[in-house]
Amino acid sequence: MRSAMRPGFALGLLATAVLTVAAMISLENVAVQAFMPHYERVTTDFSPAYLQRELRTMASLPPQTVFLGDSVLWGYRLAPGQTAVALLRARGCACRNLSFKSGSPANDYALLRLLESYGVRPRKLILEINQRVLNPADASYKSLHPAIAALAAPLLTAQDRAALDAPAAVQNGTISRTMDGLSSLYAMRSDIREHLYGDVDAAPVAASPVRADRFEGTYDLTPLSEANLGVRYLRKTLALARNDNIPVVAFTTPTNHALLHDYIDVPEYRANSAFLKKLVRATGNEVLDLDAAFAARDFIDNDHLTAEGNRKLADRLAPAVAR
Amino acid sequence: MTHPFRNALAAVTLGLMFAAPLGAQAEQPLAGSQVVAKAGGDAVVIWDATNWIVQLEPQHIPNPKLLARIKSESGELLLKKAGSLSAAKTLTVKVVYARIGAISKQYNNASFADFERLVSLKAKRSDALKNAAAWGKQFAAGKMPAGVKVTVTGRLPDR
Repeated sequence: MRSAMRPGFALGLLATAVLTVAAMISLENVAVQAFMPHYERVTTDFSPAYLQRELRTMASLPPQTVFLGDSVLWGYRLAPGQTAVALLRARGCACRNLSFKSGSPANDYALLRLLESYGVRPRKLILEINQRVLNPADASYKSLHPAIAALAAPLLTAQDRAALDAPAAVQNGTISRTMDGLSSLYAMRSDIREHLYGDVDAAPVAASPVRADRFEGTYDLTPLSEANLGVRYLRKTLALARNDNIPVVAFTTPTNHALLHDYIDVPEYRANSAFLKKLVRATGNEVLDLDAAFAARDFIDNDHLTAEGNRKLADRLAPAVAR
Repeated sequence: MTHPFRNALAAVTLGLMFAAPLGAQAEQPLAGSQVVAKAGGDAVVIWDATNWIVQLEPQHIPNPKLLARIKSESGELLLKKAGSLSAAKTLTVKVVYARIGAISKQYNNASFADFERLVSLKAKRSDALKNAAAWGKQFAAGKMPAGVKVTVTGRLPDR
């Protein structure tokens, strides 16, 4: 009799343990979804789970002004509250910053596809256009952020998938992938860690002289055309926005002409800038030319703005945001 | 007994078999980005030869010969860009490639370590335009014309 009871008792214990763990994970998921803050901006290594959560939240809110861009708009070397978008939000704008460090036209397009897919209808799209990331040698030129790649893959055509590098989100083992699917806390661990312990790209850097020759090759002066992947995806983004009746205000990235004078104060750079502005205007959208609008003291380096530079950027964008 | 027509047909066919790949190779774009970093004055074009080197890896070309081929390709690139960079007085083609770091056991992919600045070719634009045909032949033959300054600043990966 005693030996007949043991298997049943063991099974009962196992079932209790499994149910307890399941209950704890469920509670934790509810708590994370309810109480985890929506950060001012995404972290450098944002997860698919965090992005998905943001998209669902945005879909439940009234239309917002969405900002798409790269490390400039994200606020490289600045705290989240110092960025232009954060300042605009503090002034009352229903703005959402979806820019990130490795932003690029291909990522902008994939993000807009995701916004559409999740039922997010932006009131307006503010689009940063940076010649730097149209350089085929730039790391972001043809790469999708892993989190965006993970969520947007089903939305991309075979042609997109062939043209772009879409790294596998995280090649973890089976247990890790399973936990990603079960536990929100686990799935968003990188977002939580960077928020708690600081994003390395948000850490201020000690002031030191920046040399122009460090940026040799950063900007490609080859005439832009449809052969450029960035141009193609910029065009696709504008077409998608038009199709979804989303007004777009683009702006050319403020660039440190004092520093980069030898490289970019040339007809070829200006011609490429004109090409991009013409492309945007041809879709009936507005473009603000901020390329040479800022002084050298507003920059940390070639294009990343200081806190004061971000205040000026917020001032320049405010009228377009308010319209 | 020889048949003239069949011999001629065979010769043409064989010629096409060899010429077609060479023609295709001549038209094939140079692998790797070629960034115009500076357009006027002392113009600079940076060729990232990483993909080009990787494509040739299966052929196990010894490094000295590989470097010679890189110099030839760079020379061709210099001639090509000389035509379009009208504001340049001199033109330098700098060749770089990405060195990889340790291979990740978890992700089974290589990490990026650094860019190796391998070699640069510099010439006056006016000389390149004036001697384009002759220089093109010399580059194709693996020779460096007198007006081209070659500076080797790095080395190819050990194999």
